[in-house]
Amino acid sequence: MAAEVLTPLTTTNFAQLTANGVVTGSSYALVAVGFGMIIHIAHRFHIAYAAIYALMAFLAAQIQTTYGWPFVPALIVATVIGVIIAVGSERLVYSPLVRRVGDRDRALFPVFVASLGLSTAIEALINIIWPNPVTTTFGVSAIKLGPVHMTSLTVTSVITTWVAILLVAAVIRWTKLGRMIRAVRVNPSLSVDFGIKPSSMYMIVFAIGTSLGGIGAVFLAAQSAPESDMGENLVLYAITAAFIAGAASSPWVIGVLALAMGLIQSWSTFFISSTWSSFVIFAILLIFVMTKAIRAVNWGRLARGRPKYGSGLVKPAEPALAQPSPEPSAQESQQRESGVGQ
Amino acid sequence: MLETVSYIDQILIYLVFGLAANLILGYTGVLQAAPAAFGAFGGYAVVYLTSTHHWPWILAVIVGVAMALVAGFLIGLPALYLSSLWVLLLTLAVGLVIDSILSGVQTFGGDNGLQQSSSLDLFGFQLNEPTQVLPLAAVVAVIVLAVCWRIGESPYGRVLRGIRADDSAVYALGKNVYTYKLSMFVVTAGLSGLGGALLATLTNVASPTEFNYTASVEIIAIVIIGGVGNPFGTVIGSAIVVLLVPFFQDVIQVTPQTAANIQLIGYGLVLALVVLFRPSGALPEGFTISSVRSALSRRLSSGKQAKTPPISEGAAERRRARQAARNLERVGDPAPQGVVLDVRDVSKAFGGIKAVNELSMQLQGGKITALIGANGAGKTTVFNLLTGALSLDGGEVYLNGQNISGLRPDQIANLGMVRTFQDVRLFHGMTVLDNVLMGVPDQAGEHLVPLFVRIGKTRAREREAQAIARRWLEFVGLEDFADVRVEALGYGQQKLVSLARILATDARVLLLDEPASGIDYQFLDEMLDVISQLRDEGRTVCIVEHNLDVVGRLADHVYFMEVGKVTAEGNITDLTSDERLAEVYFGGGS
Repeated sequence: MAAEVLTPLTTTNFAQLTANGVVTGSSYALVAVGFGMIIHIAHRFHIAYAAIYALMAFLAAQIQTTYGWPFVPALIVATVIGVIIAVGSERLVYSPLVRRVGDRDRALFPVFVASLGLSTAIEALINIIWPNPVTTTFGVSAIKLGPVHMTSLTVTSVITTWVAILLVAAVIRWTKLGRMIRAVRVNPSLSVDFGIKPSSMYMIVFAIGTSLGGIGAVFLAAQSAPESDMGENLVLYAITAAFIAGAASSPWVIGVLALAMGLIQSWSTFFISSTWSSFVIFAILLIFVMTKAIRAVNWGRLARGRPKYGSGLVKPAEPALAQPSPEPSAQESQQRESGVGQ
Repeated sequence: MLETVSYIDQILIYLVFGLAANLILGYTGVLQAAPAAFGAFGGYAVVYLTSTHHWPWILAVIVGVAMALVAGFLIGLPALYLSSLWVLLLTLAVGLVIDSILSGVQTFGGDNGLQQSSSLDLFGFQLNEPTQVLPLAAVVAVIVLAVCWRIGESPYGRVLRGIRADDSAVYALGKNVYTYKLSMFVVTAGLSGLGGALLATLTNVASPTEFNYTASVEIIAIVIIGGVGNPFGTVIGSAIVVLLVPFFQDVIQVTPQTAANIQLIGYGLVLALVVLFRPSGALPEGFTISSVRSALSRRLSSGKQAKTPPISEGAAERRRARQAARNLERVGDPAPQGVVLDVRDVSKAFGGIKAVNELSMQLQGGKITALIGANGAGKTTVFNLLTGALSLDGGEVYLNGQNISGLRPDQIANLGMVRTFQDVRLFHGMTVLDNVLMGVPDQAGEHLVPLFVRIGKTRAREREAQAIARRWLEFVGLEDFADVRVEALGYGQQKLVSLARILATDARVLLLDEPASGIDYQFLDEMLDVISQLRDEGRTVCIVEHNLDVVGRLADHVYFMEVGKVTAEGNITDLTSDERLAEVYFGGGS
């Protein structure tokens, strides 16, 4: 393992790491908002988001490499393909599973497992199709803002990210479509009575959520060569941001929390080795859920313990009938079985 | 040859992991998303303690398993108070944190992990080659398989399946769901630690990749593909997942890298397809050689007769029920005199809405009391408060003079008060008999220690419990349906099963939530007969019911609820003749 080198805490370094944190935090924000919409509104633990995210990055890079297309058309085509796969997963896998189980909360695990399966398969497929690195090209020029060094690529990605997030937040907050999506989030059954089709809303949510991921993925692929597991940690960060923010939060709140995670990660290199940067976020998730768990414990009831029989006036449970009948004989059982239906 | 043995070793070791995961995921339905992570305790303990401190292998394994057990206990203790989604998140986070720590701490070797540098042996038997590990892995796998089979196919396993189907209904029958979940969480962690120790012994390395998120996905795949809740299915699942790599590598002749990727595509797609099209996996729950044999013998003995009872709701059943009722020997306590349940000023608010507002009522022993009121009056909330399903905001509840306020649902059930649910809430996927057996209290087989230590007593008690359950089924006229899965029954029959289920608890106070709603007329008489007989037997019954004809036929005393309060009481004739109450109840006059 490399020796642990900490970044010296100076004003210049702080400014630079803050800028870096904003760039990485913004990439987390897109995934967090996209994944957060899907888990909070459609209640699908769509872990395959990570694999589709990586696929969109590879597709954009391949389109640029093979056809020489500019950045934006490549981004659009890759995102559209990603959206088709995501919506297809909802339509063909998740939705039928929920229908079969009968309840979206009880279907949580089957959906999670199916999504794990899709995720595993798509990631492995990427590894087979793209054994060698491919990169997205973007006309990069250096930008210097005081002590901070950035590139046109990172500045464009940050601006695009926040325009997209605020646009989605505005749609959810102020449009008819947004009202319908919010209605489905709160009560899908009741929303049917108002002419809203939850299945259609879910597909729209999958499309929006995946599109946000597509933007992030393609920009990230322009900064460094994409890898098949590039989305895994991002989705796990997204889970952290989305759940700390809560189901009822606006997309921009989730986005800001994810941005804060990027900043925390970046600043953490002042104090700990960068090899621990993922640990910082996972530890936040663990502490958050553990705190919630500890608060959920009814300590009073735990301390009170189990009452013993006879402590009240009720007798210990015994068979109500006079004599427990012996186990039915094989003959009796057979008679019962053969007598059935006659 | 060596490679073949190594694959067999891997199948056996992943079988240990898979069986452990099946207990918590398959039987109990707790969403443990990081089953591999607890294996790290065993794996790293073995390599670290034997290489660095030259501990004996067995001691290192014991320490590793103990650490996994402690970690499982500490994480499970608060985690299992959370809903499924949060347990999933928490276990995911635990797995990621363990992975990050293993990758980041130099003592653990970082991303490369720790290499085994000592020769390993167990009581003089070398453990340095796959062939040397094979007998050990085989013995451990068989023992773990036997343990998991014993747990799964016992009354304990029945409770676990009940928890998976509907944990609040299990609580309401007097079983502490939390303890069961925690026990399985800890046992799973310990067995995973054992699996991790074996894996590190085989590979001579303990690295994060063996216990990370991807490894957990593999283990979940083993459980799902093999069959949820079937330990023998896990054998198949383990073989499929492990052998996919050599299959593609050696049979289809691709490079090891491509073979690994094809393996991932293979089991990824299989996982999704199994969940979608064959959720029960390769071997469905309850599918064993003996079950096949008994099904075959049933088929042979009954010739071409119908194998399962037709689900008819006809006169024959009613006759059987009445016959059973006549045969019933009335024993037990004489009808208790006076107040059995005393409810004093109980309140419950949800946000700003007071669902129950300083409500007081009393149940007289050996009588049927009805709680009526318009929809939304708070009747079911009262039942939830009395049985501990909801906590009280204020007031007190006394059962036979004992203050039961604040007790858990299982504690209240064990003190003698149980309830049915408006929406029935049977344990789907289980037979009618198993549903009723869930109500029978004091089953030795429902506790882990007697299950393995007092096998004879467990068997004897199970026979007794089956006899009790069958007689309650007879009481409600469903004895012929004992081996039918509950979801195959009609709604009226399901309500009768739910009644038999609480009768099996032998609680003396029964709270019946809308026992007559939604059932056919042919079953209505049946249900009313049964409830009347319970009163005759000395039980104290409280019903929530909308059907005033039913209330009139059954109830000795009636409470009328409006917006969370009792506003009138008396007999049904008095209440229905009150114009104001009639208007409240019927919304504009009767």
